[in-house]
Amino acid sequence: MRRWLQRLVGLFAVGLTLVLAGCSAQQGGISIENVWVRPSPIPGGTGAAYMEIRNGGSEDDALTSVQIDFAESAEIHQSMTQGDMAGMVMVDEIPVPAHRKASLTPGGYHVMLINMNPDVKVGDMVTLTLYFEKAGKVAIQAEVKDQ
Amino acid sequence: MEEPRFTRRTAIAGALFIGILAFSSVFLPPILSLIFPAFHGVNYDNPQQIDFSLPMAPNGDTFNLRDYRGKVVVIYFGYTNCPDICPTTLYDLHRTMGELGEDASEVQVVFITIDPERDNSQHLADYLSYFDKSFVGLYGTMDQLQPVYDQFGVRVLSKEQTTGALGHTADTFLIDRSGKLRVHQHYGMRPEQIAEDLQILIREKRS
Repeated sequence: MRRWLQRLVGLFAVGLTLVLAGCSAQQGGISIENVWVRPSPIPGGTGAAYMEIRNGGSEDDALTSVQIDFAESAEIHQSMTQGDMAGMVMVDEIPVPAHRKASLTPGGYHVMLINMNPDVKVGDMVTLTLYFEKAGKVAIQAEVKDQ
Repeated sequence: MEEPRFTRRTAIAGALFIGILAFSSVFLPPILSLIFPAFHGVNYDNPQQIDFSLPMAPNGDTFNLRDYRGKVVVIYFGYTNCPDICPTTLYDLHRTMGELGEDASEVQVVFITIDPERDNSQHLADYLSYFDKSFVGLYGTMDQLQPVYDQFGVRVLSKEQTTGALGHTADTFLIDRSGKLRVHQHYGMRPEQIAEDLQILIREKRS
């Protein structure tokens, strides 16, 4: 009976780990959630990656660069809108203050994916390697989807 | 003996007052919005007739806005190399067409490039069909495009002119069935809101 219970608890723990691993990646105080990649509508065009970066640690951190192998390069950009005007600038980093969350969402911060591999299609999983000032390297899996 | 009657009268009056208040707060806004429909976007005080012709992707056939009288036309200015704002808006417009259901056939979405150097016709056709097969893409030389930008008050700043990050107009423009520019919507409006604005124009009689 006790053995049976142990197995059940073990299974539950494995299941929970798998579920959590599917939702987010965690390293140090940094965890990544709701990550997705928008493909380029045309071959060789630009795509974008979006996510939420949570800093559970007590030290301020910042996303400083992103590496990918499914596009020529990745740059950190910020879109801005004011009244009828919109535009975008490249930024050096996205700050992720201690105990706070940074959101990369359409119309705001995003990772611009330049000259994307045309084979990357909706439904695919791709890997992004994020580099943080303090937490260092964090590799995450992202689903390719339209929105 | 007088006191209970007074209390009853007060109670009835109070109940009536609350009833009227509840009725008007629940039913009055939808009734008023039916009589005076309000746009989520910004409506022009003095709507102007818009007219232009431009080459249409992919074959370079001439697009005449005049040919679309009777339809509600949605105009969006953007460029195919845009990674964030343009695809978000185009995807939202595709979802708007879904929200409209059968009424989507009353609406034509038109994308006009603000990057004529890079956006050639085939490029533009492939780009738009990714979002929605019904969307039409227009291009041309800067000499052809600039007068169209001017009609809509669209600003496209060069890198040298750009201050900070604001480089181009990202509004969506709605033209009614008679060809008048009626509403412009800022970036970020939800598909349901865009659809509601379009429904107001769809419901208007053809003139």
